[in-house]
Amino acid sequence: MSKSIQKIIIVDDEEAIRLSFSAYLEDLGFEIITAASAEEALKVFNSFQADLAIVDIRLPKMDGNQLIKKMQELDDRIKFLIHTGSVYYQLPAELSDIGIRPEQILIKPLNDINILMAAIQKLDKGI
Amino acid sequence: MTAKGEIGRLAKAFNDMVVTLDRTLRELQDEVTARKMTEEALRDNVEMLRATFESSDDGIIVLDSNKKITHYNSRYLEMWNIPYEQMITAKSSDIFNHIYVQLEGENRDEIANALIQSFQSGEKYRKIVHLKNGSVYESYSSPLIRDNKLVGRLFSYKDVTERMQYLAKIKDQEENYRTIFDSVNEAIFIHDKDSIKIIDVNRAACQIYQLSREELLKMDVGALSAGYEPYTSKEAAEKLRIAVTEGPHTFEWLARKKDGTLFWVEVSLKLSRIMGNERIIAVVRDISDRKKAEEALRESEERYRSIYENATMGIYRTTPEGELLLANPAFLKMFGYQTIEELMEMSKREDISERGYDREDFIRQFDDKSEVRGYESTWRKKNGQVVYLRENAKAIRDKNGKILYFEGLIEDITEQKKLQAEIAKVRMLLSNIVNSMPSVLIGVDPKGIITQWNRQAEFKSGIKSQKALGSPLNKVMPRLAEELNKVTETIRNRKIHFHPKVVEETEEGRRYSDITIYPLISNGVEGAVIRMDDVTDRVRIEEMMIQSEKMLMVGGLAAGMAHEINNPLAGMIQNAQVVVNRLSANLPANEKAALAHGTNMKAIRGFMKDRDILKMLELIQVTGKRAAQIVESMLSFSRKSDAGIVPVDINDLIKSTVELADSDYDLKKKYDFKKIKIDYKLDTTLPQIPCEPVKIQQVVLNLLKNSAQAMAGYAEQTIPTITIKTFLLDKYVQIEIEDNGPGMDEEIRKRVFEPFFSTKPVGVGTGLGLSVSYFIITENHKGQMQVESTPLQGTKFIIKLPLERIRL
Repeated sequence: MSKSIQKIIIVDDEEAIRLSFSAYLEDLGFEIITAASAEEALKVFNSFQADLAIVDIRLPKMDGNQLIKKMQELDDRIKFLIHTGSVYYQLPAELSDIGIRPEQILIKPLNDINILMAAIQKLDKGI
Repeated sequence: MTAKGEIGRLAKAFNDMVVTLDRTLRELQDEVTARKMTEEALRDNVEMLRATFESSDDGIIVLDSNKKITHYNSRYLEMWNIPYEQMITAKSSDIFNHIYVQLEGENRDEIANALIQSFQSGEKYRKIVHLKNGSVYESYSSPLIRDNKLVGRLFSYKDVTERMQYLAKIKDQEENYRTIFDSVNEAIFIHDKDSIKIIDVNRAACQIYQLSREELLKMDVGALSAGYEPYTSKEAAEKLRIAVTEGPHTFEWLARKKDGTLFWVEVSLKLSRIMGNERIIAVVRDISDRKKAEEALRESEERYRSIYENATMGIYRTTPEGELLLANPAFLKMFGYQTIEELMEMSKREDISERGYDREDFIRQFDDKSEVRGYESTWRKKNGQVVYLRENAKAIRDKNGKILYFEGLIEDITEQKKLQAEIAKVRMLLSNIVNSMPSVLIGVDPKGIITQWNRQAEFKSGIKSQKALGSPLNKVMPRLAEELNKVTETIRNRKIHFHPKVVEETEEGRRYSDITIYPLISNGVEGAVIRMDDVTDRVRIEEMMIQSEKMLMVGGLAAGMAHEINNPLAGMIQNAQVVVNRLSANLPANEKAALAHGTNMKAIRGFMKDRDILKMLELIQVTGKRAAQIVESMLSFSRKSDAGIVPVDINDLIKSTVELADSDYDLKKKYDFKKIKIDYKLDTTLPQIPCEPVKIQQVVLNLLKNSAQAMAGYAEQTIPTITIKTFLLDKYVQIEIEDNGPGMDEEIRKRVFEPFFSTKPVGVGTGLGLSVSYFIITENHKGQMQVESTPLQGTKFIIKLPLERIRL
């Protein structure tokens, strides 16, 4: 990967989660933007130019899977982490087709928030 | 003709003789008188007459017409005891008086009157004169006529005492004979030999023939006979003739009574001489009764013969040596022979018994009795078929007790034997079926007495059927006592009674039985069959299934709400961690913000420490994580795929799990796991089994933890020990993990696998450990998991894992 991750968009309809992640990542020096829905995220997507999107799957209208697909279409170099509360979540075929792997799924709640950083570092290293 | 007649004749002859004598005498007297009166000259004659007169045996006296005694002889004086001297001077009146007093009183006056009247009438008379001294005289009186002129009267007396006595004796005898003659029961006819006419009959003859003597004497024998051949007068005459020509003979005769009734008699004819006459004496006996008896006997004999000939039972008589003396057709038929001779010949040639007939044994049966019943023997018939016989035999002995022969009845019981064998076979089959049933089957009568006790009943109760049969059920199996009421009810209602899951506490723990009572109403035999099935295993499985259902429900619920809970938990836990970061981490932003507010991180950290803020934040994270853990555990209660199933050596897995437990911080610190003795009893020959090792490890670890927790602080005098056993059982590998801890009671034991059931203080356990374990074993691995425990004696968990993967 040529460019390391700087800018992250967090999409989650739960404010507590948006806040915990954004505060944690800001403190680590990342540039953060948050969105409470897929529609909101897409609105700011082009202007923000995120390197990484952390996406909740169950969202009010458009769901996380579709959002990831859309973002991928808009910007094919963006990376993704899926942060979901549904324990039985399985990667749909269209996401694995665009190269998203099970390691990119984080199940809520993270017992240790540092797991998030570890996941970002892994992505950054292109693993 | 009769004896009486004979005697009469005799008497008459005698009389005639006397009369003749009298006449002679009288003629003589007349002649003497005449001569006296007419011729003195005829002195010689007179003298002779006088001498005759004097020597006469008769006493004679003659009176003249003036009643003066003119003549008398010495015999007269002698007969009347008149002394000669007195006679010389006596007048006739003196003599008369003299005679009179000697007469017997009864006919004294009659005699006296006759005497007196004779003088007036001049008649002759003859009288019998009885004297007081017992002599009997016959007196004769006659007038004396000379020249047609009455000149006097003659009286003569003849001594007839002896003759009269003789006559009386004869009469007596005759009467005796008559009495005998009339008193016999047989009819007696006396026939004249030549005319064959009936000349006398006795009273019995009158009675038997219903005819009077007079009637009988007039009848011909033909009229007293049936009247048809060969019982006619002609044949009767012939019979009488034979008695004369050939001697006495006896024959049966069909006789006729007055009213025409015919009856059988036996006649004995004999020629006899009676009073000098030849007579045929016929003795006739009524033999109707004898004839009837003979007839009855003949009929009876015919009947018996018919029975003998036609009986379906064999009738025989044999000698002790086995010689067949008598055998009826049925007997021969049983052996298949036509005649006794044929049968005897065959039996002499070869042994016709099927299994060696022991004659000695048969005879021994009679050692102490005269009759044997139901003696069985087996024979081969003429056609080779086997015949089973049963006999009732009787020994006939002589007066010394020696057996003369045997008589008996035999019965062909071949069919019966076949049936018996068939019945025995069926009974054996039924008994085998009943005994091979896995259920306890107990038959009872309406009074609760045991009539059936199958092998399973023996096995379950430890009581042999010989002992149980005939005993009251409530004594033999007290636990069924209360079912007895149902037995009565069942018999009355004829309805099957079902009582499921009846509990029994045994030494091996609680057992469950389904008890079914079936009414038995067949052929009037009342009773019931109690069927008892041990359904403990089924009940346990049901319990487990209920557990599984509960867990699946929890799993489903958890899956549905996991997302909803996990999101807030994530917000809570993650924010708490970020808060800690922002309050304590050496972040430039933290310092910058602190300075902006006139303080520094050092001060803030001091404040936090003093106020235990960080500790609280940590607790938020810990408790949040525990909530997350609960949700995760609940999520285990859902079926998952076969992913992760690999062949595993269970023994290795157990050992590695124990090592893991050793290094477990909580176990080490809180429960002194190191102090617990692990006792391995592992079967090293176990094959690898397909399972999810991580899951099984989770289960084993959970059990080790539970045991360690249970034993902590319990029974310090004993070494806390966990015994782990593995072995092969059926198609499973069985793992037993047993501790010697405090154990648990039945109430707890029943609930240990329930989700959220916990005996630990709140916060110590989730109440899901055992239920998750149970779920892993039974649902994920299709194995079985049980717990056995007795308070104060430890707890044993039993896990059974199938040797082969059972597809979900």
